[in-house]
Amino acid sequence: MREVGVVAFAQSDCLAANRGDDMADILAPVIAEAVASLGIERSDIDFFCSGSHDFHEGRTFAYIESLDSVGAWPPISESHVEMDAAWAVNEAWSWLQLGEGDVALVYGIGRGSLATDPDQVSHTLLDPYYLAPLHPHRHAIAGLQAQALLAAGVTTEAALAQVVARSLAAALGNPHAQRSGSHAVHDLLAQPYVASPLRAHDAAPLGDAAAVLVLAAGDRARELAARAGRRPAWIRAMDHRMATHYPGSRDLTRLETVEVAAQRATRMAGFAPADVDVAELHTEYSHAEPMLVQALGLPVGTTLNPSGGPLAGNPTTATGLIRLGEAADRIADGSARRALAHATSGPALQHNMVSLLEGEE
Amino acid sequence: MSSVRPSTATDLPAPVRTISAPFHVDYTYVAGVGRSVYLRGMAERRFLARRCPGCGQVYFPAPQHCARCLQVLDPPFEIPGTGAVSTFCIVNLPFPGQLVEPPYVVAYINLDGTGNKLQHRVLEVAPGDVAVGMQVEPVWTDDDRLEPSLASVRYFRPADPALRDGGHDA
Amino acid sequence: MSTSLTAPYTTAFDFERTVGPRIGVFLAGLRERRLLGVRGSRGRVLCPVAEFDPVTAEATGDYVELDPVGTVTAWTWVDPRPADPLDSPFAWALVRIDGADDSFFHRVDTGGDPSLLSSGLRVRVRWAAETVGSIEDIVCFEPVTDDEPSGSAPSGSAP
Repeated sequence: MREVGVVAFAQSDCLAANRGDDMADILAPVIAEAVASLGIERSDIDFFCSGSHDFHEGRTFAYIESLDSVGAWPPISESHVEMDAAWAVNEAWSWLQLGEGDVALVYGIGRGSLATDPDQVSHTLLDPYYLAPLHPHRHAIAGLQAQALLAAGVTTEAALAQVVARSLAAALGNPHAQRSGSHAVHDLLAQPYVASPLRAHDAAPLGDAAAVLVLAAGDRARELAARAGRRPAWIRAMDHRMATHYPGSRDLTRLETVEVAAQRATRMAGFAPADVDVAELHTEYSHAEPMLVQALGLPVGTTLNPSGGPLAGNPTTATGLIRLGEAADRIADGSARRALAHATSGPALQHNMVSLLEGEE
Repeated sequence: MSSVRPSTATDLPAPVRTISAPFHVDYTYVAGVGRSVYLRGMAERRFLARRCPGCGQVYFPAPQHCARCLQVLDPPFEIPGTGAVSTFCIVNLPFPGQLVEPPYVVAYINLDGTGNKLQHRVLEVAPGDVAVGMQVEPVWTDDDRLEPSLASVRYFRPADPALRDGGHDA
Repeated sequence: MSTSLTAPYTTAFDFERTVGPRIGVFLAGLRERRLLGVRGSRGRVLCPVAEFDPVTAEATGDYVELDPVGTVTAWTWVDPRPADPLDSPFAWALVRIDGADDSFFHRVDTGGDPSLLSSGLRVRVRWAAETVGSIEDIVCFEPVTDDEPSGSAPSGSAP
């Protein structure tokens, strides 16, 4: 397998609603920052890949507008996934594994603020026969999963509040966070339910942001990372697995997809999730954290979401990409030798991707 | 106790073929700082273009950044709004929400002083008389209907009055 | 001026969607106020009906007739929104229909009282006044009351 690593990462601030910029203008400064840190030209980038979703942006082929932020003239080699840009990283990583080039730029943009009522969007992402016609409350399937976890004794409401409190306290150190603060668990537990047992703070806050990650292969990665004054974060493994969509067809308390993806990633990387120092988890809800910790087999002592994680900012289709970028940055800044990044898609953690990253020896 | 009873083919209902599956989402459109310049101009009967300091490309409508050089475009300046037909088609099909009764011409117009094309209707001319290279000028809507939208330009028409048929002005 | 204009707009499509042959039979059953299931792989009973077994991806088999009664297995309590058919707070829930091996996602109405809801609650279908062949022919599930048989099949039914 070819050595492919993250050599640059940049992100915009997560805003509850950006009413000043179009997609290209949110992205442009973030891309400029990432590219400038490497001292390269646009023509040095062999492949561009992005992730966004028309139902959030409210237009068909919305991603075409964001292409203006990378400049598609002269023509570029480009691809797009209609989902979280973490999957665009997977495509770019595979593309580099094929030896098609040495440098790839991946960007994700999420606009969670454009839909007036998020419930109008959330049901469009569901099964069109048995779920979408019911227009479920956007937190309904997550609420079911959380309640099932409590009933199964996997976690408690107090433990979920602790996840939120720890995440928002960690986010005090993250200048891009949308939400942060010091909260006492008993204050959080005094808040009303939005979809019991979930409270408003248990759900990641939708918003707008962009993120950019540059991948490079082999010695080119070492050269570029050195120019940026950082260490390459080698992506030693990526694997993603999907479960069935309908929430009544699977055991909502168990993430077999994560277990399988983690096993395969472990074989590919030569080390396991249990061996990482830091894990960035795509927790769209607080209850996802204990589930993921269990499915990944993360021991006590693994640092979880030191950025604050999605509970501190959830720019829809950029959220999973930011997990990869934050994990890479922990390796780049030397605070972790090995890191895990998780991304999810679909209702109740239907589709999961596990990436294992490692710094240079 | 079991409540599961086999169902035979004869007692099954004829299948439903389709369901109504409407989709409705209310959004906020954010034009962006760049496109807002041209939109505000439209409400004042002005065509406001912007030039790239890197490659000299002039855009109308202009985004904030040059899509080739990625540089922020220079401040806006006014162009006349006249231009030449670059290519066109004759619309013969009716469709819901159509503003003009077919047949009529939709053209790409090279606006004078810019380097990109603008799509708009070309009316006041028989479709068969439209040609590539034809000089055209904008026809604005009435003052009380001006808005920050390209809809403030009702259509384009031949710049030469002799080429207008006068009959089809939407 | 260096601020952006914004404007409200709506995206809407009046789609008519084909449903597939087996889902079509299930929805036609709802129109007749009948609850059908289907045999999946290894004899599992799936309700609502799926075209393919979600575990094995094999085409599903024979239909079975089920009583519109089941047990709540998971639930979440929410406030009603303007478009919801219920006016009081209610639950979104998974209901295991008697005789089925998976669960049905729908609403449960306990008259606005969350204390009546629990995993294990026995519930039955509340049919819409007018049925059209849609999942919305079921308005919701509601608790089985003490004075009605709790989901037992009519006598003489085959196992």
